[in-house]
Amino acid sequence: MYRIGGIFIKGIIDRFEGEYALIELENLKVINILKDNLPQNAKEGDVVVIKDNECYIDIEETQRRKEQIEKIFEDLFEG
Amino acid sequence: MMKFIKATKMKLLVLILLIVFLFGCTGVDVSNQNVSNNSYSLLKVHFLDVGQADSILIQFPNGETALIDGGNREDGRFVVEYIEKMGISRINYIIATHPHEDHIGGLPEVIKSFDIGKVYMPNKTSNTRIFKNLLEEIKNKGLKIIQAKGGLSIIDTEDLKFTIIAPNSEKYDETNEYSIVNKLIYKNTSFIFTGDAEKDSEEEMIKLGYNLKADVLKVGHHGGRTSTNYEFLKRVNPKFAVISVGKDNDYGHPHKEVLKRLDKMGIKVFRTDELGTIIATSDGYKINFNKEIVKNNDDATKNERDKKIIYIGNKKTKVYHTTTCKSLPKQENRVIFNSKEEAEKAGYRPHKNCIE
Repeated sequence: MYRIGGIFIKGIIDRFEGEYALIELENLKVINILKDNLPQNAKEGDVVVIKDNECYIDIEETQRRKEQIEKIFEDLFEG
Repeated sequence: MMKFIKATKMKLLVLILLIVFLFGCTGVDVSNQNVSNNSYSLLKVHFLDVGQADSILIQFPNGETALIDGGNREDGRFVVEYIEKMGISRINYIIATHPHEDHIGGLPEVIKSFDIGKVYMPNKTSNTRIFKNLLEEIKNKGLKIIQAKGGLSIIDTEDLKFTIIAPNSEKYDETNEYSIVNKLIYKNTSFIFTGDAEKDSEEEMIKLGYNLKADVLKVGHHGGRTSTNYEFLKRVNPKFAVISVGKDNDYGHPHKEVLKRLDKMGIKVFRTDELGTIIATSDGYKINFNKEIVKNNDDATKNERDKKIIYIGNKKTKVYHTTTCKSLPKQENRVIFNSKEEAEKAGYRPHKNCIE
């Protein structure tokens, strides 16, 4: 979500392409952000928050999403 | 003696029956071909123009259909309408090559809109909302996900074969490497669809001895340099290559190294960013590409579908910057723009040092 007067971006890293990270925002739009603007250890699937000049990975929410989605996937998946 | 005669008579009878059967069969075959020449004896492969993404619709000569990927989320409506326009109500096989948004984005809408047969996916999840949406739609339809693995056959008849030749490992470092790669053979013509498979998967396919020879190659990862390596390209040795890529995308796809590799081997290249939707038709002996390309998107919707970088404007100076510019305005003076156009429209001009 954008907030005028400051930056507030929260989203999930869908993938990396070249120098960009592609982030799925809460409004479902996917935007490009330069990788350099994210923490160095950021990886696919991380929930990232960019707030003014700080940027961090929400580890708890990342883990929560991962567990929730893997559960649905396993129920549907016929290996 | 009696026994011998009986056996000979029996053999004769079998022979006569066989002849009648064979002739009968041929007759049926010929008339069938005449009746269905227009629709059922042709294979049609549509590489949909979904910008910087993949979506490929296949109409098999047996009347079945497959959809390999569904474009970005914003492409869902377009993909559904395209399939409807073809008069298709059932998609027998959905192939979600790997869980990135530019491949699965439109699939939830597709699954919602059509009667679906089977769904194939690699054993790889994503944390995104779009991936969760896809799983929810699969669940709503009461469908299951079949694990895609190299060696799995989807259609296996004498004239028509549709198989999975990758992924061949349980785990990869890169999500792209999990991509489902399909080979399609119709009589004397063949296609390979690679998703975003990169070097590791390409090397595995070579090592495992798959017959990779194909007339048409859907180039891996929108023409990215880490795919379509020379060794792999040599094995496929295609006459035609199709690159599914967005105009002026931010990643420089297709990379010039890949175009060079294709050019060096004399391969004819078709690109969706230049031609729009590309349709290949095969009668089993010859592949034709349509020249009257369907230009379906006006520029406005196209721009909207393409990915954006955000820009930061300075309310005081009316200058806008990239997010990495060294001279960004103070917090209270910032305004966010989704595109250069948006900034210019608002009366802002580009900052010379950070925007070309």
